[in-house]
Amino acid sequence: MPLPAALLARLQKRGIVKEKEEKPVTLTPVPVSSSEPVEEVFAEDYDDPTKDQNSNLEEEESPAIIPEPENVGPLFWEVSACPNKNNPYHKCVAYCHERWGMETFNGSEDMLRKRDRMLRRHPLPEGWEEVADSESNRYYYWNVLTDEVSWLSPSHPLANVTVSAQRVKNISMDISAHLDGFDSEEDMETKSESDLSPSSSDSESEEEEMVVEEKRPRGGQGHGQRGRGRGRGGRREKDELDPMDPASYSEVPRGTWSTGLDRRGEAKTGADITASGPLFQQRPYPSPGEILRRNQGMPKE
Amino acid sequence: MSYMLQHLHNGWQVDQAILAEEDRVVVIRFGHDWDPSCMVMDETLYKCAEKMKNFATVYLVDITKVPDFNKMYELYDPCTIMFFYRNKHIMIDLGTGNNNKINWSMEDVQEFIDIVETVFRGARKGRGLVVSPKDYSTKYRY
Repeated sequence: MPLPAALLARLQKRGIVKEKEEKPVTLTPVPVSSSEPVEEVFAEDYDDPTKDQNSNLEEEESPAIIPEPENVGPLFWEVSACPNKNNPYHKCVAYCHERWGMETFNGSEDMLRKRDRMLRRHPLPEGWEEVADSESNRYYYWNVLTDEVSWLSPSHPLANVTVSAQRVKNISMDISAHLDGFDSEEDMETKSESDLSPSSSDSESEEEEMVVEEKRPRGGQGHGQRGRGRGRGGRREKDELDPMDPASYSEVPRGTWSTGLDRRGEAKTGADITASGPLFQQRPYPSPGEILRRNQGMPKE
Repeated sequence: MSYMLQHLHNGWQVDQAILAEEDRVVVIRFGHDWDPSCMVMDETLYKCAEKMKNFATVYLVDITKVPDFNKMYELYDPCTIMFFYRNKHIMIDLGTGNNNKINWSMEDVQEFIDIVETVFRGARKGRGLVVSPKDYSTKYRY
């Protein structure tokens, strides 16, 4: 039975599992089948459509890694430059690649200089890889074990380590697939987030400039589920939308703790509107004094 | 003895009128004096008031002048009668589905007195909901 990647890595560190079982992380182009075991864990919760969709996603994104000349170069996920690639209902076909070609990464000197400075001060911890993002023409940092991403080096005090946008997108796709194609907010968010524009500011410190953008890096494209068995009993992640949350299947924004609670002084009817049928209008009204007291808190029209 | 029905002109008066009454049912008519159906009801109330002065008092409230309760009591009808006893709203099962109030005008004096008496008897025993002596469900009308 294949072990989850995170567990495998930990066992390897302790020497319990032999090194040769380690999956090639960086340099070989990762075939779709290599992430299959993880995929199984992922599919445990959901039905077949989800799985199909995810494998489609992988095919579409085609995470071919271009090996750098030396071992220590940043990764670059080659993606198609198709303008529709963020459209969840668009599947890139061969024509897209032909017509639009592949995206290229060309980081500006300014950005490279700042990145070098940052990496010198805040070196990457173990397990983090530098990945080039072709959309923003910047580098982000990807934890190969936990699949978390960050625009800044994770040891940087201002680094915001998050789940990748791709992963959030996958989750929301799952939900919308379950709920018959309701458009979820998260999708839109992801879309707008990944609509990065290359930052062309010439501010002095690289910290400020890099922190200004609070966006999620796109993350390891096909490897969204690597090392994250989504256990049933596990702790619910913060970004995960509860399928029963109205925000996941309708237009309403995601609520906060106090959303929907009665606010003081809000005028409402004395009838019990939560009851329907024979119970409606069968509860006593409050006394006039009580109403006057409640009305006091109300804003005057 | 001529007995004019008393008007209440603001929310505070309504509150005080109900609070001040210790052992009588307070019958409040919400509506407008100029409303035809209210005029009918007021006529009935006027005839009743003297007869039931031992267990009920009647007040009239203009829902335009005193709009405080319109939303909470859902006063949309031209004429609404509500009963209070010791600062508590007393419901009557009239068979209409709306137990909170009488929202039509009644012409029969004795019928109304019977209702108020039932309310008084029930409320004095601590009941919040009493059953009207007569069923006003529309099924008997047709």
